[in-house]
Formats: sequence, structure tokens, C-alpha cells
Amino acid sequence: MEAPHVDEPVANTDSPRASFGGRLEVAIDVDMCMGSQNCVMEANSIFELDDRGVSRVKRDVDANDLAILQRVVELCPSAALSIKAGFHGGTEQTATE
Amino acid sequence: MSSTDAASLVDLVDQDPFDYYVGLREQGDVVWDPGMKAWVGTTYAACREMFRYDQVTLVRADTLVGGQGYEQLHGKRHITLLQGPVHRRFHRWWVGAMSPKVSEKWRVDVVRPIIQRYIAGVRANSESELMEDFARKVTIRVIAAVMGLPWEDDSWIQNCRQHMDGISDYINAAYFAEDDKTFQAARAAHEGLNDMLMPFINARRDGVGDDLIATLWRDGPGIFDDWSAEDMSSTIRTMFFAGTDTTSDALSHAFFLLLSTDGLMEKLVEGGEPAVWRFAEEALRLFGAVQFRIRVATEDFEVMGTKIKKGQFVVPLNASANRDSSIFDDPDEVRLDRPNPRDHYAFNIGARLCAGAALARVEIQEGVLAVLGELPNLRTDSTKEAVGYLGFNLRTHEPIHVRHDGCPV
Repeated sequence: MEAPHVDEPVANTDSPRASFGGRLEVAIDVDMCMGSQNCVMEANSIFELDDRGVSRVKRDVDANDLAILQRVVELCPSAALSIKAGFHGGTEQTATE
Repeated sequence: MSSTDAASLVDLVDQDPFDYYVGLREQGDVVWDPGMKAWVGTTYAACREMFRYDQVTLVRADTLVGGQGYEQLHGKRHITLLQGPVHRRFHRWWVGAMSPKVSEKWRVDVVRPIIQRYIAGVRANSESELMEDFARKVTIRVIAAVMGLPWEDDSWIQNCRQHMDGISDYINAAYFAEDDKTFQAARAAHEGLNDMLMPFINARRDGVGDDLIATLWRDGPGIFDDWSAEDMSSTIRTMFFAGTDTTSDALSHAFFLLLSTDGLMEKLVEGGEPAVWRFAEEALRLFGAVQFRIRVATEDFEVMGTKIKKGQFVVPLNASANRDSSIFDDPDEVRLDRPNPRDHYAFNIGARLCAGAALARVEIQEGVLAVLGELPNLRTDSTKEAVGYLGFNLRTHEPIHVRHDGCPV
């Protein structure tokens, strides 16, 4: 069995928004999500629970959401969330593993 | 006393509490309970608000309710005693170690084989009491197996069982009065359980293996720099205890519903695993295993217009929120068509979500499947003692005396 992540670093906040066009994506590891609803409680305009009891993103997110997204990543009991930066033509992961 | 005569949660021991909870919700979202000396969150919305405050404004109050004995029994790093980033770090380990992905592997490797072993014993007799003959045999062995403990040694398991009963008695008594006799019995039970676990804990110091004890030895120093054998002992005892009775109690609620809800067994057989998955959530929503866990406010704050002062006890009443009619249509009924079947508080939500929820779900699902599959024409044995809904904040349905037609002629 793989050792679970004990300390999950938050997304790098130093990347200039301009480099990535301000777009962000949230990745949810559905094999880890326990449906704690921390993300829903902290950011219910962004997250909701699906009918499997797993979190899902319900709207597009951008750099304006970065602070709240970093908070929910930090607070997620399952370490199931990560933030990726999107830029025109593709995506690049900013959260270090 | 019937629940309609109750003036406090403390009057509801071994009573069906749900009519009383209806009355509480009618009084308001947050109600003062004079017997508990606590603010009680009665509704889905109020409990949700309280869970948002977990870890900072609200912390677990077990040491205050249980007296100084609680920390003595459980150790200073008991998960319920930790707060803030330290709690988050340790809780993440627990959740990861028992994640949905890991629990699905355990479904095949551990849970099904153990359940098949003990359902065979039930099937061999036309009469059975499903808690002692099945549920309690299964859940203690599942958690023992995933920790790499000798789950097939019936004598060893029975001795652990007796120690855990002593600990349960203390937990249930703690809300009523500090009773030194019960505390001393719990202390002896803790020490007895410790003595039984330590040889296995020590044998895995090298951290080799994929059981939870070996995994914790490997990961512990990453959680706390000074990780020790005492921390191992405290955590493994907690895990063993937490994964035993709450899950067998949850199974009891599912079995009670199977036997008391017309047409339900037929619907589940017809609907197969998807229907059973949904039913497991309904059993959790309707009865759960834990009615509430008490907290204390670390600062003045407000919940839905009620001002709560620093130092006051706060009780999000999970079992009441789970039947809130403003959220759940037909709140007292088993409905297999709810749009979000897992949107309930049986395992808490937020920072103090039950880390063993995924494994508990697997055990409930597989336990129900086994009963449906192996015990045809299952019915209540009305010649025996009737079932009761017993306990206080930890509750069970028992005894569950049944007959079936699966016994070979």
C-alpha cells in the first residue's frame, strides 16, 4: 500500500497570473475524495457533491479564485484536490507533489 | 419515560429519540439543553454551520466531559484531542490509510472472506441473533485483519472484545457523572487491550508490510518528529476500538430496516448492488451509529442567530439533522431514489469526518448483500425478545432475532 501524503504543499502562488492567462483548473482525485464537504462549505459557488458523494466543480474557475482554492486544497482532509494553471493551448500543473 | 416526556437528551437513554428531535427542530435551529448544559444544533443547516467551525472555534470536548481520565486512557495524541494543523496532518494520514481506494481492495481481500465465513455459520442454523452471531463477529475481525492482527484466533478476539466493552461503558457513562469505578474499569480495559496489542506492534517496528500497523510505523515519524511506541499503541488501540462497535451498530440498523420495512428486501434483491449501496446510505442517515459528538467553544461566536459564549458546550445533533424535513422528503422513510444519497451527517462532515467511513460503508454493503443472498425468507423471530433501539450517543438495534429458510435440510 502506498504511503498516503502527509504534508500536501499548496499551489505555487509566485507564478504571475499573466503567464497563465488567469485560467485555473481544479483536479479532484475521486479515489481519495471522502465527501467531507470541506470544499463545499468553504466555496459553495465552486464545489458541490455529486450523487456518488464525491466533490465536483460546478463552474469555471480563474485566478480570482486562487486564494479560496488554495485554502480548500490545504483543508481537504483527503488531500484529494489540486490546482492546475491553464493557459491558451494547454494546461500546466503548478501544484508541486 | 417516553421521549415525549423528555426534557433533555440525557433523558433519552435506551429510548427512541426521534419524536423528541422533531420537537427540538420545532423550537429552533439551535436550542439550549439544560441536562447537557449545551447548545444543540437540531437542523441540517445548524449542524452544517457548526461543522464549519470545527478545529478552530469549536474543538472536541471529550476531555471536559470524560474528566481527566480521557487523556490518561487515550494518550495525548489521540485524534480527538488534536486541533488545527496538527490534527489536519494526522487526520489526513488516517483518511489516506483507509481511503475509498484502499477500502475497495479490502472489500475483496478482507471483508468478503470474513463475511462469508460468518454468514455460513448463520445459514447453518434456522434461528439466529444477527448481532452476536454475525455483525459483532465480523466487524472486530475486519479491523483486526487490516491491522495485521490475528483475526482468526477466536480466543484472542474474544479477549479484545471484553476489553472494548469496558471502554464503551466508560464512554457512555461519561456524559452523566464522573464515576471512578467505571473509570478504573476502563483503565484496566485499556491496559488489557494494550497488553494484547503490543507484541504485534513491536513485531512490526521495521515497518515492513502493508497492514496498518506496519504502515503507521513507516509514516509516524513524518506525522510527529518524536513518534514513539506509545503513539503507536494509542493510535492502534483507537483504530481497533473505533472500527468495531460503530460499524456493527450501523449493520444492526440496516438489519432492523430490512426486517421492518415492507417490500424492502424484495426491492434490494431486484435492484442489486446499486440499490444496496443506496440502502446502506439510508440506514446510515436514518439511524447512524453516533447520534452526536460534543464540542466546546474556544471563543464567542454565533450560529444562525444564537450567540454562543466561549467555554459553552455545543452539540451538533447529527441524528436530528439527518431527518430534517426541510432537506429530506419523507425523512423517516427508506427512499432508494434520493438525488444525493450520501448527503447526510452519519460520518460527520468537514475537518472531523470519520476516517473509517469508506471501510464502514464496504462492511455495511457487503453485510446486507450477504444477508439477502444467504438467508432466504429472512424474518423476525417473534417468539424471542423484541428488538430495541438502545444506547445514548452510540446506539444499536438489538437483539435482532431472526429465522430463515437457508438452513440445509
